[in-house]
Amino acid sequence: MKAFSPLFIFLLSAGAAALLHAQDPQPENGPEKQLRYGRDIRPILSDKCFRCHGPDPSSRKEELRLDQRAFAIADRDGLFAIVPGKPEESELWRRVSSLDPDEVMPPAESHKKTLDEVELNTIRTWIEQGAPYEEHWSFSQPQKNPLPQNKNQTWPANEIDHFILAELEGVGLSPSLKAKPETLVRRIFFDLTGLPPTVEEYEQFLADDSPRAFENLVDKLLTQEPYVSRYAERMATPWLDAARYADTNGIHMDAGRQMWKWRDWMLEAFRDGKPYDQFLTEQIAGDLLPDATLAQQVASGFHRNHVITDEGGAIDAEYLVEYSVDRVSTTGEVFLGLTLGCARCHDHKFDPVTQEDFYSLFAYFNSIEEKGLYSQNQDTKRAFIPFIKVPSMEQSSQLDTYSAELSQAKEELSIPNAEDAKAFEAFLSTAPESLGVHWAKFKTTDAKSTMKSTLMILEDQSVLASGENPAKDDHIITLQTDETDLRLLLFEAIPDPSFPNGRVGRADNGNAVLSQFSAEVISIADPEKKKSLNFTWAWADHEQPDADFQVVNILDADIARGWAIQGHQISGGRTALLLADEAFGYPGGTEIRITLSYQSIYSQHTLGRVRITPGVISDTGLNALPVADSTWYATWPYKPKEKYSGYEEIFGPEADATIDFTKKYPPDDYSWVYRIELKDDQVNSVLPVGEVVSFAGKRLFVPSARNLEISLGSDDGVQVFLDGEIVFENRVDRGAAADQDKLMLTLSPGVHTLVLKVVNTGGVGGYYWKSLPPIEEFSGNLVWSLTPKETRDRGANNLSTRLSEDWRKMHSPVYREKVALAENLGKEIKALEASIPLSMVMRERKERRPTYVLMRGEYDAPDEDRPVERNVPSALGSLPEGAPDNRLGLANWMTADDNPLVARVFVNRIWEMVFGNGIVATSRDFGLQGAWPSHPELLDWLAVDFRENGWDIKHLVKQIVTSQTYQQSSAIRPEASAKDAGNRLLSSYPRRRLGAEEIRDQALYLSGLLVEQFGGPSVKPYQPEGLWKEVAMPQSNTRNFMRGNGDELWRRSLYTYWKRASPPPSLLTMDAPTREFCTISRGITNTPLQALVLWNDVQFVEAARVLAQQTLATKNYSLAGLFLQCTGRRPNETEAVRLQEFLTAFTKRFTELPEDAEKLLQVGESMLPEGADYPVLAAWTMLANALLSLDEVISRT
Amino acid sequence: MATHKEFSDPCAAHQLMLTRRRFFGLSAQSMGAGLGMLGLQSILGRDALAGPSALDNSGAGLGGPVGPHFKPKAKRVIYMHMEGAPSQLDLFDYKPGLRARYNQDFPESIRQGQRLTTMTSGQARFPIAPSVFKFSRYENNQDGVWLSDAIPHTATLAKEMCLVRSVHTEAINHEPAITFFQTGTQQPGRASFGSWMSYGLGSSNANLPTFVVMISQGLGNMQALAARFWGSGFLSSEHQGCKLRSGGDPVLYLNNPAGVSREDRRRMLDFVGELNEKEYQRSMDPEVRARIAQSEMAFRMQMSVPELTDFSNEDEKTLEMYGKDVNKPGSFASNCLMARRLAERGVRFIQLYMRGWDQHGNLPGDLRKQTGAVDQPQAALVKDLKRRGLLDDTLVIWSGEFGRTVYSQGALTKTNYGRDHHPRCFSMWMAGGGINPGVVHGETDDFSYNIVKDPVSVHDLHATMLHCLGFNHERLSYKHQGRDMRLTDVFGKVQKPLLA
Repeated sequence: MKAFSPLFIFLLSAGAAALLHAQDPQPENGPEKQLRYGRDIRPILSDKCFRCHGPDPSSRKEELRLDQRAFAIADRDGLFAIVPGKPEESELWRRVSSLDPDEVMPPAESHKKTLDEVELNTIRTWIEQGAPYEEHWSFSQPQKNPLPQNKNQTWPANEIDHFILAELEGVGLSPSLKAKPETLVRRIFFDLTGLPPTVEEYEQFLADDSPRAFENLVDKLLTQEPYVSRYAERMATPWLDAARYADTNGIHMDAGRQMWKWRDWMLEAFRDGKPYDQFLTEQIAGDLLPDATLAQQVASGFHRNHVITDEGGAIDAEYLVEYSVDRVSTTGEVFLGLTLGCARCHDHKFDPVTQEDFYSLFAYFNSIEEKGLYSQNQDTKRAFIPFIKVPSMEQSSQLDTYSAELSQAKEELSIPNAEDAKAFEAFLSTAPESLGVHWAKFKTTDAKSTMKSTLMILEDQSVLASGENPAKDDHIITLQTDETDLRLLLFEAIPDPSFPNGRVGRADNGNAVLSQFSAEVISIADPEKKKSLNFTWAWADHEQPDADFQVVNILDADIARGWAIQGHQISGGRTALLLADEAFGYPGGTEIRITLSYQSIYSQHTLGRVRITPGVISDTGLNALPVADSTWYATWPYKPKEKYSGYEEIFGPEADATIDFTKKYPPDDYSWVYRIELKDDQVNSVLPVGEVVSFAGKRLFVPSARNLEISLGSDDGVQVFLDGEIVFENRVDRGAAADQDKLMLTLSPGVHTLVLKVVNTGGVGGYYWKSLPPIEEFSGNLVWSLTPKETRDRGANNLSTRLSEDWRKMHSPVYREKVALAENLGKEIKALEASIPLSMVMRERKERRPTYVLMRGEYDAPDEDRPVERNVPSALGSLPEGAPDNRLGLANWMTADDNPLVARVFVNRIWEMVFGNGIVATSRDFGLQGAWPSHPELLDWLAVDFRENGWDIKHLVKQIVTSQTYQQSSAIRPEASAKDAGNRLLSSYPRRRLGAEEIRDQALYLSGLLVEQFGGPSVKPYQPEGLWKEVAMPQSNTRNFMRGNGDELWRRSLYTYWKRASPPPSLLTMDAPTREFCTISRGITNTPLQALVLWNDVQFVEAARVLAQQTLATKNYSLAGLFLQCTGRRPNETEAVRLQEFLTAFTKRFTELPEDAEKLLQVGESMLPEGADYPVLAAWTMLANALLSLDEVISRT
Repeated sequence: MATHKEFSDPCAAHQLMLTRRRFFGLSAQSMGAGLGMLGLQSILGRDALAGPSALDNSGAGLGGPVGPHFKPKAKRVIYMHMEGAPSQLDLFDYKPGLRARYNQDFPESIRQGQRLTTMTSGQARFPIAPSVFKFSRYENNQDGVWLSDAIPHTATLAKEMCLVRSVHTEAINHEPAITFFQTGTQQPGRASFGSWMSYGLGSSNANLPTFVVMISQGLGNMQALAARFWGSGFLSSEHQGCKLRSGGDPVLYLNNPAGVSREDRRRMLDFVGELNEKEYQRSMDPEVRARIAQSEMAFRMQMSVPELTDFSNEDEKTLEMYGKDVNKPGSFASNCLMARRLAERGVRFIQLYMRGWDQHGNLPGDLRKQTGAVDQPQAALVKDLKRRGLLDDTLVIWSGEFGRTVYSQGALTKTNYGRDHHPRCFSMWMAGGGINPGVVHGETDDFSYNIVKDPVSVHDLHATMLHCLGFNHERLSYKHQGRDMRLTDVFGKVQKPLLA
């Protein structure tokens, strides 16, 4: 490059000026044409010089800046970077054109390439022309300038055409001819609805010969159903990419999330023509609008769509920063056309955005009631805080009705009944005695922590912890008693004012988790005599309900599972009873040494004040104690060899006498996992769909030998295993309901494992389980009648009241009836509430987080000398007067009349959607590194006009598509492409492939398979097996892809469930992004894998088959008709011949081998018509498969 | 001046420049390389892609690969990623002195406030867990190398491998660390290493994808993978990795539906091709021609992929080399053999994932299971490449995403322990094209906790690997969001001692 010849320069200046703007082609400008700083010069300076001589002072070298003319032409000790008009005297020219490696700019160590010949020539010419500068176009307000004058007065149909034509005429080009009507109608249907027209719709349009025919069609598509809903679905797709919408969290477990209500809000906004300023405001700050409606809050979920993590070791603070950074970057790219992300670590090298500016924007987004690290959970329909419930109108009113009925029922229940009260008092006073329960006299003699907490024995024999509260701890408490024949231990956690909020737990939030309870007894008379106690039963007054936190978990050594007491939410004491499997207590006195282990993953979750009292119980008492159980665990799905062979095959879980969470069962290494959805006394319908075997299991803790009656239901058949032995089975095909089977479990004292093996032979799976203990049993809260009154009164959740209610339920029929009514209502309300969709939203914290510039952008390096306030970048104007100091203020600024970017950016994106390229080709970047607009005045005109027309999106769309520019033919004219490289001047309509969703939707629609339903939860159409599993964590709740059924297979593609770690594969192949971050414009590639999708993906083959079926079922069907349906035009003569040949050849081939035809036609779940001629149908299927993969069918032409 | 003739001829310019992607791709290069011959050569002169149309290879429309900056030592990469992070202390970083410190508290002076994952940050103490594995000395091209008896086969590569004991990373959790290792940054959104290769070097096989990914399910605690690990980020999506799968279609949608034969597909393709050609005549859109060519390649792939995955022409001895699981689809052994077959066929970037190395507990047992699955096959792969003369121009990489702690996570006994994540130092090895064979690089302290000599960052590794492939990592860039994006971001230094 150093040795360029004069001839070369001559050639360049004479003929290669067009190449100069290769990246952003312009009309060929002869050497006489005035260069423009923004278009021609600044890109070179910005790329080569500004890094060291630009706006960022920290990296500026030699105090020289070239981004402002005043500095560039200043006298610097006799040297001038630029002497306007005189390149030879300009140091800039001398240095960039130098051949001396020590002199040349940019220097080698910058890793920037030196200027090439074209660039050099441009710089030189510019200096010769006086080196004029201009402000960056996109940072000043757009103006509506007068329309340009055109030579051809007849062509323009609207303002757009004047601008387009002016540029074409400038390079001596005329526009293309108008596209054929059949091309146009297909084009407009795709652009406005994402679907092709039907043959009837073609004909309707072709028959309308009014001059307004096309406009009428546009109006119809934008305002009438079903088109307007389809329009919304079409507009939604690019917005889903921009908003990084998905149905999973993206990181680690890639857990499912519920967010589709936001998607539906957006669909409705497009359908109902919500003005863009409101559309923007509600998404940025819907939650902050005065009296925000549910819908507006849902809209604010735009900024909750980003990826979030639940990776065990992740650091909360780090991810909180990442989430807010994502919001700033996304806001920049989507609404402002600015790549703000660079300013996270340093001042923007090219755009006037400083690091302070970045964090000033960041401050709008970092005080949300959110977490950095979220918990893991098996519920795929979870929403992550903050979120709201979004009931439909019907759900709301139904809920109101139920709630009113419930409060009335409760009121009736609260009316005291003197008789009951008396009988209850009598029961209480005799209960302990009747069951032979007696609490021993004892003394607490010692209490120690294995860590550094201080334990002190109080007068009431309880032990109080104080001082340090280590992350994990064991408390060892020693009691002495003279009594013998002991079986029980009464465990009391007592609230104390020294703990947070006066709760029982010492963690900051007042909660505690006891992971294990163990004890040994030692004879005081003969310390050689001692033994460990084996506890086989436990009962608690309260267990935290949101995970596997049941009290029975403290009985074994598994510290991963413990008893959580929900102290952060519920005040009062906690009480538990534990039963040893045999009597203890030595004559002559016994020392009981108890270890309370706090070894869970929940740091510092210790109980602060506890008392443990030994007790005696008679055999009658033991018989009256209820059977305790663990929560349900599950492991599934297991594939049987055949539909019914699951009953015979042994998969592993049924044969084991214990539930071992570490054990992995072949072939997929599934383990037992906790599943919160599984409950007693409800139909559990979350079991896998299809021909699969599922296991649900729990542990039973039995105080004494007994028979326990069980009521059971299942879908389909069921086998029940107790400790690995089968005790019941029913081989049946049915749906699950309550009380389908009865069974009697014979239980010995101790701990048992119960496993249900549900054999599903198709469709949904489920089971029901309820135990029916005898009425004499002290079940539920009646157990607490055995404890002292003082203990009961302190118990959690109004224990005494609960006890009295349980007693009345048991012994007062009237009361029982009312309770049943209230319980039923409660269940209805719960079921209804569970069916109400959730949606993640933005919600401000009460206290704002302080914001500092983060050094190098690192979460743990706030620069405390550089605090920042919420604000907008100063180079882009200032907040409107009186704008609130929150996101709403930010939105006000964005939608203010003088915002230079927002309207331009949106108008440009609609333009890009219609024409494939924006007027600014870098539609995400309007900054200094972005591309120069091909038609700057048009962009400005459209932007101002958009705002003046109330930010009406449909108006804008209509304006664009009713232009002559849009209606041109797409045929490429060689003479035009020489002057209009890349079709940047739009000398023809830019022909290009359809988008991923459009290609699939078209195939479904043409075949009649498409199920049109506006909105709703995401669906899972066909996808090859195993894709999720091969990337997912074994515990991930989106590991097993469960294909949807029926209608779910054929919905429009935008409703496809989006798992970020494994996005819908055929859409991905057709260039859909992964949705892990904001994507403004998709590329369009052309790869062999795309051909394979069109040929072989079940959804395309099925569509071809059904399209063939539909065709053959139509009266007067013809090859030409099918061709017309797919392409929008009639075949010409040669094509008609080839179609016939194709069909004949395949008909012959399938007639010769009809079994191949039959195999092919089995594809897909949709019905195959009875009595069809298989070889003929197969031949038509092949033809439809071919037509659906034609280039013109998968393109906008 | 031929170049200018090309450009001044409107038809040629049209052919070359018309489509949008082609146009941008070209201009990006011409900005970089100037309008000299280099830029055009790299557009036109890509290796070995013959096809029916002049446009076929670039059919994807990107204007072809950038081409290397200098003569590369390696033409392709086989990259074995051990997902979950294998313990350097139990495999590569020999610390015999730790035995005397069994169960002692890990000195705070060494930890230096290093951040901990929230999995061990609540742990009461940090007892030192010396490795239970025996180490032996193997001859290499320096003064020998000590390697664990968990990897006896790999140890026989001592004279081939360049063992780096001083790699460090920025992330302490799997997702960001793997993302960092694969794309040069912790946050999703950048292009993966393989995509950069596809963008930089293009294909050298007309019948197979350029960037192939294979996954083996592990035997231990498995972490998540995600499509972004082989995603193309801001690069065109044609550069994303193509998964070669062990179940179902080896390449998604490869096989014709039941009842449809290869002849049927040929017949359909002829018909579609003819109609598409007519569409080209009408529209003059080169994308149509490109589609014809891409469909032909798809048709060829339908042959070449099954041929690729069919091991029946491998001799017994070769199969034996890779171990007993070689015929078990999806096993690491099978994928290693597949990697060699892909390398033979000129696939540029072959990425193997082995899941299951996240040994927070029960490390000795679980590690042995994992090494049992990878040790023999990975050694066989290197040897097989070598005896076929492929190792010289194949860059082989073996690494996890970070290391593991010297102290035990959870209970420590003489025979059992676990180790938490450790980003400050870990070991990896490379072999083949352009790599200095039989050397050990870098040193860690007595606890394999901090690096004491020759630290190598992940960016440095990327820079070095790119160097082997003929790229100056500072120049292999792509303009996105107004920035010249690089695999090495704004970091990275080529590590000369690692180079042959």
